[in-house]
Amino acid sequence: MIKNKKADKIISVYWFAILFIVAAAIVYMVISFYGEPYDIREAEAYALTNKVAGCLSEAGYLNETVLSEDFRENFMEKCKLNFEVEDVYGWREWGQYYVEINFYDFSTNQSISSIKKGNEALKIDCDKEGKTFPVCLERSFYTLDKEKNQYQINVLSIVRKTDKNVQ
Amino acid sequence: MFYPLLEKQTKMFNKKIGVFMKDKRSQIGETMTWVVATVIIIMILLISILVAASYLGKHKGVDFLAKRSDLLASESFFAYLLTEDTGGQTVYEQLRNQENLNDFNGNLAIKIFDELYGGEYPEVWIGIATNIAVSPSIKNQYFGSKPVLTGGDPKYPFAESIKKPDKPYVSQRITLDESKSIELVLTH
Amino acid sequence: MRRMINKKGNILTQNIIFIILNLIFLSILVVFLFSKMGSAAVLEEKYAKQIALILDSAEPGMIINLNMEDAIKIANKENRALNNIISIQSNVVKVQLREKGDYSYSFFNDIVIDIDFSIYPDTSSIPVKEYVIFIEGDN
Repeated sequence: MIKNKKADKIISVYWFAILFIVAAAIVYMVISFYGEPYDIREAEAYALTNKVAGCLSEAGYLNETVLSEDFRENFMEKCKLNFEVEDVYGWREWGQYYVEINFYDFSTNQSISSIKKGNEALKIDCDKEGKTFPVCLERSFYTLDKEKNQYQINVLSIVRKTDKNVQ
Repeated sequence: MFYPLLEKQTKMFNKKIGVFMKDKRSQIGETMTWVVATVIIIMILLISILVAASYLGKHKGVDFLAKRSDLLASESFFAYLLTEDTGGQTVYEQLRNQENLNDFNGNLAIKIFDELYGGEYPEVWIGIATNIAVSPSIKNQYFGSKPVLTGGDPKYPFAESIKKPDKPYVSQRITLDESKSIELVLTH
Repeated sequence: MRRMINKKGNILTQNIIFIILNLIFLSILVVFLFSKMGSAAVLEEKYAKQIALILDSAEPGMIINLNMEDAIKIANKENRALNNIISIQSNVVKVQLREKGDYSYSFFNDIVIDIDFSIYPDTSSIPVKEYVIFIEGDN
């Protein structure tokens, strides 16, 4: 009888130990889920691509000044883009966005012009996979100018901002 | 007189020994149960932690499969319809006057939509859509038949009982005349 | 007989204490879970990023209604004025639901937003559930 009581006590302690382990695991899972930030970089890259495309072309026609030097130099103002970011994690010294636009003759695939803005160094990591690398999005569209010349325009949009989107 | 007493005591002693041994066996049995239970509990916890840490957290993003429009594809579609052949007739005018895609606009559509969006979307289709309920789209030799977008068995398109959720897709439609339209469909 | 009576009393008390301790333990766990789910920090991040994405795609003249009922409840509990929850400095959105702590996120769309008039709580419904984002015009 005395031995039964000891066994019961040991089992009670053991039961609470198991309960504590289960609770610790649940707490860890909750913290790892709710501690993980929302990753919206892909959505940002899509929005950036759409904004650039909307600036270059409208209703199937390329905007007239797009291939001019003036447009290339003042691209950010012309397309209402601002790549300034919060002054955190050294983001201001190391740009968080990059956009590259390449214009091709649709029939011959010959390159006509290109526009590059932002931190070009982000392009190096585009072929690497993993959440800690910047998100790269390359999309294309077909358009005409008023003289009915055919163009293919490739837009590469890169968003870094890993510190606020990845744990 | 002595022997029945001794026998009685022996029986009582045996009974006690029996109980004692039973207790011992049940304690060992209970311990083994707890060992197995501990192993199972720890395995389940490890699996849950792995799932929570690696899978659930990853999916805290924006769901793109739900998007129903594609600005770049729309721009390409408008430009496609405005493209002129060597005779100066636009693709839009050709499709208004003809029953289906021809060599010029069919191959142009493949060059634009298959090549630019075929890698992103599993199914790309361009063709003539009609207002006729029985045959709402016309098959063409460049893109085949229009993909089934609503749920259910294509053999029984009106059977409510076998409805499934719609496939997510992007669609752009331009009216050609009262009876037909040109439609671009990109399914996810 | 006496031994048997004592045994019964011990078993009942032990079990009751055992159950009560288990319940206390589980209650603490549940309270922790719910506090994490509805926490101000998570909502600040969620709405800062959501508003930044909306502004990224916004065009001049747009009026956007954003349901922020859960955030408004927390702000009311923390005694934060509804006009001070969302602020925009240059192209950075900041959401602050508590006295100490906030979350900011930048957007790339260079549109002009007048801080006083373009993001405000929609007081047409009481209690307030939505914020209105009004995009005025080009820079």
